[in-house]
Amino acid sequence: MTERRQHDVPLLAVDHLAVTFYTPRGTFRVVRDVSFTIQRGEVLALVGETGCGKSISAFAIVGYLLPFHPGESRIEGSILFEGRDLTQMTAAELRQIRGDRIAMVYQNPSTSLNPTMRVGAQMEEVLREHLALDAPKARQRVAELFDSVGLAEPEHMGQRYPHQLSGGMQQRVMIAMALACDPDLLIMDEPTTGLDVTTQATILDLVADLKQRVNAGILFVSHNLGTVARVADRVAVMYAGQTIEEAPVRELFKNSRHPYTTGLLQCVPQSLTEGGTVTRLRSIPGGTYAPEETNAQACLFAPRCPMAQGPCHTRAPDMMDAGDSHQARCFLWKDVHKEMWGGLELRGDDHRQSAEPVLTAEGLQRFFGQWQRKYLFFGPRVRPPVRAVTNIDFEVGAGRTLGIVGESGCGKTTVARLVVGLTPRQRGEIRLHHEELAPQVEGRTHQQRAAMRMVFQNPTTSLNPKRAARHAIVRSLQKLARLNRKDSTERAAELARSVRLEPAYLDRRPDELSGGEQQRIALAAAFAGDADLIVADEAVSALDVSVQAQVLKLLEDHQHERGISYIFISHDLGVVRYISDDILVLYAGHVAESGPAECVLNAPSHPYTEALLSAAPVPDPDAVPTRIRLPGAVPTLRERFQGCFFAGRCPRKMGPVCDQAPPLARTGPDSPSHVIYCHIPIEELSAVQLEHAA
Amino acid sequence: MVRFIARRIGLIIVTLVVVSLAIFLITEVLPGDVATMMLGKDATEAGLARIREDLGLNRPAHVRYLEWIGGAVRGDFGDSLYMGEPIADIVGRRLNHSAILAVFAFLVGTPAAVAAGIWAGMRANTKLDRLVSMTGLVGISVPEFVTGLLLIILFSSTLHLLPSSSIILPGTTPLTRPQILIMPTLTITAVLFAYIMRMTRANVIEVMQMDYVRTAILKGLPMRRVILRHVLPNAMLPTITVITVNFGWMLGGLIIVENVFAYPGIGQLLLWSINTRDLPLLEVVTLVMAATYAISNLVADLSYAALDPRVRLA
Amino acid sequence: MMMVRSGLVAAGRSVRKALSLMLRTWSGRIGLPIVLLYLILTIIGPGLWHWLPNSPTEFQYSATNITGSPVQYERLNASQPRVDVTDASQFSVGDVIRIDDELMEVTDIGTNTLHVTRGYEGTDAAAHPELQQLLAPSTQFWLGTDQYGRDILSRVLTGATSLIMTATAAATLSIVLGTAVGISSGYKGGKVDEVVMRVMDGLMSFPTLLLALLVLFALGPSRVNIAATIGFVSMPTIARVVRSTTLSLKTMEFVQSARLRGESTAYIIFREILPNVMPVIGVEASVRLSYSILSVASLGFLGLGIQPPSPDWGLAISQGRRFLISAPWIVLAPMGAVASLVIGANLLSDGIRQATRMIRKEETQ
Repeated sequence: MTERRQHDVPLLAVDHLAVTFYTPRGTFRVVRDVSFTIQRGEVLALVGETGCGKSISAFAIVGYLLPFHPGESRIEGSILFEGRDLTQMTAAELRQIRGDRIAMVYQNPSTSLNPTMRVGAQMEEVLREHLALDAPKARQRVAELFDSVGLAEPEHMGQRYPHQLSGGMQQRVMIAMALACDPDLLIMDEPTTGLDVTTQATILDLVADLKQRVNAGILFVSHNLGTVARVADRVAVMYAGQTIEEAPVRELFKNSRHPYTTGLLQCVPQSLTEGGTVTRLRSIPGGTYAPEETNAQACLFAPRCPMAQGPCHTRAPDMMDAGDSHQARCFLWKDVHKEMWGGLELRGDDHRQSAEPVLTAEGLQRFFGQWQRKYLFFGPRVRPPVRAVTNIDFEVGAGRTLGIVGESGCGKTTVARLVVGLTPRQRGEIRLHHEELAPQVEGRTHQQRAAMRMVFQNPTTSLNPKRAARHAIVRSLQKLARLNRKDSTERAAELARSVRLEPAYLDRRPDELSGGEQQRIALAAAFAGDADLIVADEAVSALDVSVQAQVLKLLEDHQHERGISYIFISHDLGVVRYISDDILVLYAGHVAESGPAECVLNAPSHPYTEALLSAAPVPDPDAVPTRIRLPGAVPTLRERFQGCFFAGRCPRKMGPVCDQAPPLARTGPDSPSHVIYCHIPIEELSAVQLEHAA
Repeated sequence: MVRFIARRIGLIIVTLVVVSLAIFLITEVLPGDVATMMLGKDATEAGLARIREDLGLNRPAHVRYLEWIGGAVRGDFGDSLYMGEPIADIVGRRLNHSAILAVFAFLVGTPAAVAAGIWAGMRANTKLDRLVSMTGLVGISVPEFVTGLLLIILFSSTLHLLPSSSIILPGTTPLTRPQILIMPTLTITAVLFAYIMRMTRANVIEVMQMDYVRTAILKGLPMRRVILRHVLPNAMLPTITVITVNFGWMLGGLIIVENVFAYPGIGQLLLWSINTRDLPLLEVVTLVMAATYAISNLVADLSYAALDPRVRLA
Repeated sequence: MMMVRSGLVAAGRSVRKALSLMLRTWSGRIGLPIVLLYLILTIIGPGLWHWLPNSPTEFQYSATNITGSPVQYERLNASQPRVDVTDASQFSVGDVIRIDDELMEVTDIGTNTLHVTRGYEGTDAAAHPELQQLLAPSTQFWLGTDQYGRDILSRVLTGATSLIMTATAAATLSIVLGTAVGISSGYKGGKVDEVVMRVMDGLMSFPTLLLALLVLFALGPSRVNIAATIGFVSMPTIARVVRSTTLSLKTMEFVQSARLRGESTAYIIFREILPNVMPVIGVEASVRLSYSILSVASLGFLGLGIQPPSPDWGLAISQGRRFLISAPWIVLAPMGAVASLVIGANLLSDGIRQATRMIRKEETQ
């Protein structure tokens, strides 16, 4: 059946692994039942949402658990590394394996490198410890390693400190460090999470490349189905501390045999269909199974499962063989199908027509900081302000959604704050219903404040931790809808229901709510004043995909019912593509491209948009990765651009003109409102992308 | 880096000017009249007039301040009213005595405290660690004058091992009879040790939870190396700030300790000048103490920068 | 009203939670009883001497030859101490008289005046056994008597009142000032913040005890001045901590939301930010309290603290240390008192800190 020979010992075999933490605040069964194997030269991805136990499982392999929770921990089951049980090894034996045979790459490269040590020294340490290389040899090897992970100037890289490197370079150093002793097993724990999408793409390229180059097994831990589709050979999906499905990557994405996996896949916004329309998202109701709970004699997913039947609630399923080296922890795996979470619906297009803009912004500008002088108050001016937003125009049509995309540091959050008036603009005009708005929110009228609301990225800090959840909603109703206490309490309950929360939740304190529930409370507060426009700044970015889908649906439904407009800001192109009618692409505080969504996302595009599109991971293992990659990082914005703002990283730079003159505004052939700021003529922009597509 | 130092020195100068102004205000302008303060309530008008004449108090305040500052810049602080000696000489000698005591205490206390802090931090939340940190808490709680007097009762009146007072005879230095330094040093060290130890412990515990320590452990490095190369340098950064704060605390402690042991240092001089209402002397002593503190802050910032590449290379 | 009440209920709940958590730590278990004991002493201290066998400030056993004689005095200065009396003939040279808490030896007798030496202490205790000076602890005087023949136990017990009251006032002042400065400066931001923080830095660039000594030297030591000085001098530390907390709270979305719904600055500061700064203030307050106790006692020891005749531990230690060898109980009792009080306060603050850390951990998880 498979080519694997049975007598071969797998590189890593994890069997019925369970991890329990005994802390002063209770017992947490973080990992309940995890089994998987990894062969040499194979990439196994471990996927799941926050709190499913995937990272703990990965760290259990290297015997590093205590720092997660104070107190005691217990590991059950076995972790066989080339046939030897890692859980039974002494500290000294483990130490010899760590860094040498099994190496790790972590989620946050910036905190995972010692800030007070040069990166070269941090690498040499490993080589000296495990390979006993002398100093000159070690240095030479470090340079080779740096070169092999694509770091420029490998000979000098070692002299740098971590803070002098960009996030992408730091992660390359971490990967080089992990490769130092030619490990047999490489564990990568969310290696691209937290990096910008263009950097993420280059790191994923590197991982895909490693797969060909090194003869190691790779355990790739991630919550992002798109990155998994890009690098994995096989995928194990986790839910509530259990592996619930394991299959080769194509099989899993095409033919998943567990309801949770199927649901998860349908929570991710898909790319546009041919007609330029979007299929509606489906979401998984309810919340995840808490690690405090003891093992129930039931399927742990049953409470959220649409097809759960009698036995699902009374017996715990084991992993079942679903053929083709496919396993699923579901009694009913044969009945799992794509439509089980609801049929494919196309997103309605009717509300998209609009003549009147709700909000127009012209020439927005905001610099941060002031010129600093060399000696406090005297001397030449040495440090210029940061030019966060330079001359940005846009408008939001009634009942439409404007999506703003760009990498971190491109100015999208600043734009949001300028619009709502949290940060006063320095130049430019913002008009709401043709009325000029004061730069600061304190200077705006009560009606203006009620008409425009905001939802923030971080749900935990969106609510006052010392106040009951109702506070945010009730207070908004009192201030904006001018309701008295009694009415606002009643209305708050209605609003809670409108975001699918029981009104009883309003009495809880924020720390008693999950991230998704907190964000829905924040959303209810934003709906409180009957706003015409809601600015959502990365409002779903901190949420897990299943919860993200719930929130996106709420936003959509509300727009459908009320005809309100959104400014939807996100670094996730998939989400923006899903929800937006118009898109504004920002780079380095400038508009790179703007226009109706379907025009911006199709040719002709600005080279930066192209790069963003190409970098965005697609949850489809068969998607051919278009390889447009941006070198370097977003500029610091302290200098004024002499030429095009994108010239420094543009893969299609024409020549000196890009460095000398600001780019021209070119109108696309598809729509008069489609504008591209580039020196390259429109025809050429269209032509080259067609070539890419072919 | 040069700019950083220049900037900090500039700040120190500004601070000192402000401090000198403040002292001048406090001692000369605020409570009525210096002459009355010096002579007390029983002073006769004639006596007051003579003092005012002697000190030149009849001239406007700003003129006197400028003269004073002008003298100070040239190293001429005038004479002490009661001792009749040039203030610069007295303060210089006393500062020397205090410096010996302070350096002694610092050399004894700091390394031991840092070592103990690391030791306890590595064993966070064990019984031994709790014992050590509890002892530390008691250490920072007991006032210097209590510790000092307890030491005297123990070593002088009970065991008859050490002299109860640390008087220095004219023409000798503290090092002529080093045994007089033992008890004052121990007293200062008690507080210093406890405080630095507790802070080092807290920093070590914090750094132990950093991602880069996890990286180091999972690189398979021996624990010794993890601690020496990865934990220590990073835990020392905030500890340095703590040590400086302590230096300021120690200056205050010196006033008390020198008083307890009759050790003729700058702190005792300060109290003497307060009790005798020797204003010119008081002004200089205060300024010198403020300057010492400011310089120790500079040293801390510099050593912080030397250890932290993020500051050094910024 | 309802909002205020629900706020109070919530506050009460978190205080109770903090208290129960604190009592789980050793520091809290030891520290709290000690501090409570001294707090009780503080409250009942002023009325205490009605119940004590020996009064703290009054001499129980005074020189016989002045009992009942009306004494008036106008001026007691260092150079020429003299006491006016109505009938000088009752006195003879070598008598010891008392005025307030001071013992004086008569050196010469005028018509209506006694010339005296001040500060007659127990150096020659044997000469006046009736003064009961420097008596070792006994069943009558549990902790002995001091150089003026006063009962040490009652002095120590009542000494708690003035020390703790002054220290508490100082701590409260520093907390209130520091919080006000820290929150408003942090919330306001910009130039105002920069200037305020430079001033705070300036104040901090000065050893606090030195600054306190200077100010008290200028203003003269009284309880109000001591409390004000220590409170003011330690205010910058709190202002800094509160400011940095405020700065991070200010950027949090719930504060921004409050701005967006058009709340007034006062509402944002008091209802949104302050409740979140309270845990920080709680920890700081307990640290400040023990620090203030230490400072008041130290100032007392240096002679710039609470002035006689009020019983003060620091002063008692400073005056009594001449008898360190012959009568160590004079200093040992107040030394034990001040040390145990500060230890108790520090343990308590350590317990509070651990408790808030536990709560914060729960909130972030």
